[in-house]
Amino acid sequence: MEIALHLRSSGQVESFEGVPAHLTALYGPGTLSDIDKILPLRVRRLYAGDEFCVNRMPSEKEFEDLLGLAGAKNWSVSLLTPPLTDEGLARCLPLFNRLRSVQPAPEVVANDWGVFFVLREAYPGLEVGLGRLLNKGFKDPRLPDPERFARHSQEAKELLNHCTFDSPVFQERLARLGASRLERDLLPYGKPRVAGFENFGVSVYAPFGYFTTGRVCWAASVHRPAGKKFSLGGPCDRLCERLPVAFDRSKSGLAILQSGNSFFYLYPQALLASFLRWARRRRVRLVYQGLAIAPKVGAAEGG
Amino acid sequence: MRIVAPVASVREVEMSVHFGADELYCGVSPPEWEEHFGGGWWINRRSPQGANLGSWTEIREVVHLAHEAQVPVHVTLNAPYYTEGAIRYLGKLAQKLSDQLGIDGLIVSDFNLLLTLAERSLPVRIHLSSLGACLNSRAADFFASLGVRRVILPRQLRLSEIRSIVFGRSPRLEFEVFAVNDGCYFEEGFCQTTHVLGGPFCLSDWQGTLPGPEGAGLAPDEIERATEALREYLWYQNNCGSSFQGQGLPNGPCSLCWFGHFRDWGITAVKIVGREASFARKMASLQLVKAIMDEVRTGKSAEEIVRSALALRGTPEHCGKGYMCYFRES
Repeated sequence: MEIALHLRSSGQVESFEGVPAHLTALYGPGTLSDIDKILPLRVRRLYAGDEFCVNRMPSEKEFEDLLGLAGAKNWSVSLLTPPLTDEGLARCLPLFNRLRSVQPAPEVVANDWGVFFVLREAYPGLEVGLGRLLNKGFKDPRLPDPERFARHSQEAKELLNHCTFDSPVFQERLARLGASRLERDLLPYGKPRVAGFENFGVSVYAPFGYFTTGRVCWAASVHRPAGKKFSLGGPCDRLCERLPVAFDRSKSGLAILQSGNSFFYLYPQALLASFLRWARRRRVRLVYQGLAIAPKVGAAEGG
Repeated sequence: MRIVAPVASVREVEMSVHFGADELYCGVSPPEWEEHFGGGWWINRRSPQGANLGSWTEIREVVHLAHEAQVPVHVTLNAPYYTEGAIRYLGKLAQKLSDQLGIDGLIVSDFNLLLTLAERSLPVRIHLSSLGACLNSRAADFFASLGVRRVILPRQLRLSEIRSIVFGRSPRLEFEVFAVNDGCYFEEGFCQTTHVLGGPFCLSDWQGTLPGPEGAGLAPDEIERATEALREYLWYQNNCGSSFQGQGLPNGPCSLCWFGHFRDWGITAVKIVGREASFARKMASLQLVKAIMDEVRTGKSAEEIVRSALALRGTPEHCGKGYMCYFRES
């Protein structure tokens, strides 16, 4: 298992005591007791950028700082990109231009088909992965009784355990189109393992899966005048990066939270622990997003 | 520019055509879907009860009546995600709908279903659902290469962004935009919740996840005011509490003001949202859209259309808010 760390700024590593410590803060002491033994300690790759919001993409200066950190730590770099309009895509081109001179193995994660094709055609030196927003599956946190739901039929069970990227038809097409990696969440009611893909690298995000997002953003609207709230684009003071997260409990018992324009479920601790044990000796990249989504964290009462 | 209107029963077809629908769209929910896949999983984005045609006889009759008036019928297969088993079933269903029932188009969102239908080369048009989340011109080109004839653009675009997509398009691609009804707080194409479980997630109680002001440099009442604004915004997205204005026209999200621009940019069609809406709301929505479309078709300028739409709405208190517009500039 390869560990990648998603950071918003280079300064975030200063107080970071490692993935196990951050997970312990999130789930509460003692809940993931053998986490030190499961997780490799060394981070190998930095994730910069954001897969949900163009306003959370780093400025060129912030990106340079992150690249400096990666160079100092000898980490490879992946740049996350959100769904983008034509204008948003143009804003990201300087980041792509800068990334292609970074070694080793610079990579962009596309969460939009248009972004994917621009990268494949204009940036042949960059590896391109497909992000989790293009990987659809059943993630509604309100399902009250998943076991009962799954008992209805094999199809219902499949719905809780499979997603777009699992399809052989999809994989065959994406291999032809030149994707190098497929990235995904653990499904909230699914098995704690993911399919291996012959032609692709596999990434799994942790400890949060996303379940909904959009371009309208409550946090961006806080400081906007009446009439300008909830509009798309426009100025954003990135309040989302300063707000503490608040966990709520869904009808299924999942801990849910919002960060900026997106909503997430915290993996139940049993799901996460089982996955980590399963993935420990497999060729899976774990993208740790605890710092990027919940930098100011309190325990989510057992997840 | 054409008007695309929803129908959910045979009896709605004649009136929809009479009041100006140029194209119809509907959902189907054949009995075997629920037997096989269960009632907790819808065949498309809307509920089987009230939003979908439930029998082959009904579907055949809808197509027959519409075709008598030279109006094409498109069928939605636009759940956010289908399993492989569901896609196998839907492949056969699509074949039956096109070969035996004579529908004219399929509205699709799931990428794997799109690939499957492209391989089948069915004699129907494929329209990309708004859930396909086509947000830029390069994505539009890609969908065109998969056999998509029309892209239904998502709600969460600005006018300038719509223009950019349409002007940068593949020349053989058509575009459709939302005209009236049913806003959405999230981007449908990236929302992996289902309306089966207690309605739209965005309208359910998720305010427990709203953070407090601690540590963010906010005054104590700032979060409260922002939360109140959110409640108000959601009320507008929910068709202003499903209300009607004094003349019986439906309140709710709309793009009527921009029909002149859409015409000038070469948009093919505008869509009335709400297959599950009441018959009264559907017909009132159609009257509203048709009234503005009539002016668009007489060649009135885009600026005149804005004035006409605001006057017809007759709700300056809502329109002035900005929250009723699908496509706002920042």
